[in-house]
Amino acid sequence: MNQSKLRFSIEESVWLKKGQEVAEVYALSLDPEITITEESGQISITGALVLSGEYEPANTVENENSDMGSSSFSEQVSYRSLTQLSVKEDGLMGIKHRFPVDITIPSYRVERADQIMVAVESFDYELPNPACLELSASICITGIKDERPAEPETKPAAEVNSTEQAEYSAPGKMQAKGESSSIFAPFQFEARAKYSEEDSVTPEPLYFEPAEARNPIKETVFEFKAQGEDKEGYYDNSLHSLKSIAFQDAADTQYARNEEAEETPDVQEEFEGQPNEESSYEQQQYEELAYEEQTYNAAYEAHYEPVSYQESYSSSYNPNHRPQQWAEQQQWGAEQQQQWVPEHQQQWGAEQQQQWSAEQQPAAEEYAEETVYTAPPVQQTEQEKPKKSYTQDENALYLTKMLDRNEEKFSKMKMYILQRGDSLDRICDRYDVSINTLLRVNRSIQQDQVCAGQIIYIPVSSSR
Amino acid sequence: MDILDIVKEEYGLREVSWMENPFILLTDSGCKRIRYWADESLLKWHTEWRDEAGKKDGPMLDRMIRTKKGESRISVNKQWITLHDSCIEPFGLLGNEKQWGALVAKILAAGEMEARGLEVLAETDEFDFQSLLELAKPVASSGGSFSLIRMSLTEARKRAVQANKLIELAGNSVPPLLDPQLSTDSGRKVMDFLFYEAGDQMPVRTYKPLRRFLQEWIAACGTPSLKRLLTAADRDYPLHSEQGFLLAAEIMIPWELKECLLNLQGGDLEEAVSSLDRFSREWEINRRLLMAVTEWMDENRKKVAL
Repeated sequence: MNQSKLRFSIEESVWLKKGQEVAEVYALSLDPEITITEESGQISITGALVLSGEYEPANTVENENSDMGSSSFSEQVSYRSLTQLSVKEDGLMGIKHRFPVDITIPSYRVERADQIMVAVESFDYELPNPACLELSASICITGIKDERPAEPETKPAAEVNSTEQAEYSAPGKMQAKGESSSIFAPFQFEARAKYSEEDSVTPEPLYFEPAEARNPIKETVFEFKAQGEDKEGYYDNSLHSLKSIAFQDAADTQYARNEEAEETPDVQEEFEGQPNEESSYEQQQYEELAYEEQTYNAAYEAHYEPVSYQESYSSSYNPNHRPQQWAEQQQWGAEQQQQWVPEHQQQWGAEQQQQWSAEQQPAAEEYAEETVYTAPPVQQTEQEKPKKSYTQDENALYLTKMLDRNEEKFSKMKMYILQRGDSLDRICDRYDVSINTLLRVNRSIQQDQVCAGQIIYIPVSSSR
Repeated sequence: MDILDIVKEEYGLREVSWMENPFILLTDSGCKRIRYWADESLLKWHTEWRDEAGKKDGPMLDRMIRTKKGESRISVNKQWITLHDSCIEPFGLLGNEKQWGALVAKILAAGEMEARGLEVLAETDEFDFQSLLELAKPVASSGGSFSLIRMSLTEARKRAVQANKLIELAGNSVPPLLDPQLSTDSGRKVMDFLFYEAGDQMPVRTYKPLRRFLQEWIAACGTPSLKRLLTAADRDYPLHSEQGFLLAAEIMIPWELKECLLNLQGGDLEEAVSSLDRFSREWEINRRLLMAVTEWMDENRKKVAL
């Protein structure tokens, strides 16, 4: 069992009433005040993220901008000693606002409740106009295990879609799927924007009116999504309000799987087969793997039968993150997928990959069970709508394009090791795929710059 | 050819040896200081500025000693060397306000001469409170000693607002170009006269060097002495009007807070403690200075009104 971090970002706008506009913010901090309790098989993380600080109201600045009077120059042009300074006497307004936090985690995901830590990793603010404070923060919860027991969550192997089973018949790969499905999948939780009277009114003299509170709909559900360790590939977890956070429990997850099982295979397969050009580490692993395989089969197709390959694959490809991404894809649907960019393998560095060493891999029976688990993701009460897309991720763009174009709806990728005498044209003919498609999938290669031993990925349509 | 030989030859000296290599020479005409210049325009400004400040009687600046051919400099290896008189005995402050005041006035008046190409090079450091707030973000929320920073931000903003008003009062007036190394430590005593060893850095068009000079003065001699100094300077260079507003504005600007916040960015605890301590001291001494200057301006204004 490995300890994992759950990280998510918050973006919040705090609106101020007329007359309480900000001239300058002097201090603003966000601190967790959290209580952790364990009850009936669940760990509850409750409390609040407390926003506190001081600011100079705009009206006092306007008063100071009045012309100098005729009193003595030394009276007008002076300032106070540091010993005379007192925040409260300076007409500063205080900010105190609590963002309620309510998170529940199945207790099997936590070894010891006292090891759970909630920390504000980063916090910043902007003042786009005097009546609005834009807050952004990154919250990190540590002390949660990133594995889960397979037995209560898996469906019988008989329920597995046969096509899917054939696609992922290699034990190593199935194991990877199963494991990956468990990582972070239950860490999807909701932020419910319930604005009670107590929440929306801050202590005197401030009144905070969060933007969402103006909405006549009193309760809005926001989705928070767990982030991995990747620093670059953040999900777009822009949150309008952090009022309540709740993990979905195992029962919800199971229910969701049953509901959305039909949608899963295509998405899963396409994503799984997607080569990641940006992950040099992974690419290297693939290449090493490929050279091993050459001893078995020169034109190896990616069904991954040999055990040695499976282990290499599972430890190098390390698809732990996939279930979460699948879940997101399924939750958002095709439209949302266009905006979403998967947080790719970059986030899974050497540390995470070590946990997938061969001796840690479960038995093959578990893989079969886990396969079912990976297929249907959790259900969400309301789909998250990312604000922006990370267009720099070419893989994601490609995925989107594939999903958009029915004629190119590929269900899997074949990995092909180029042999002496091969040409891309010949490979395209053999696998009935266009050269453009091949080049798009393998963006790192040039048509005239391929060599024997090089790995390429061949998209294969589900119809083939 | 060795520098000593060059100097000996060019300046017609008989005995030349290093007293403090490579800057101080011991010659048959007393101690001399060598200054090295890489920027010709900067050398030209310093030469003219010293000459301008030395025109009238009274305190002297360390003008460039002329060579046998009457040149203010000699060229060595694509650089320039100038030779200056050098003294060791410091010139006292307290009781010598008239002489120091006259020196200040000379320096300020000479700084008004045409910069001749140096304008673009001269430093113009404008205070921006927003950038100060950005610097303060990481520390303003911290407790302990850092609460001092948070509390001072309010007052710093007021100071910045007041400084802008003072600059407006000064109209179109601009500060003279000043040697950034202006300091009470550079005054030397030569036959009961004040001899000032100026620097060799790029001049700045701001009263910041004079602010630091006056801080040193008030810390060493107190408010009455400072007022006497200002009165002495005001006789030759008017500080009670527009230029006085600009000086007061420069003193009002919370530069010490910005400097402290910049030092705190490093994250070194020892440096942080030291910076906060220095900030507290400078805040207070600057406050005293501002009070003294504005009171002196008030006194001057009353005299005019009467």
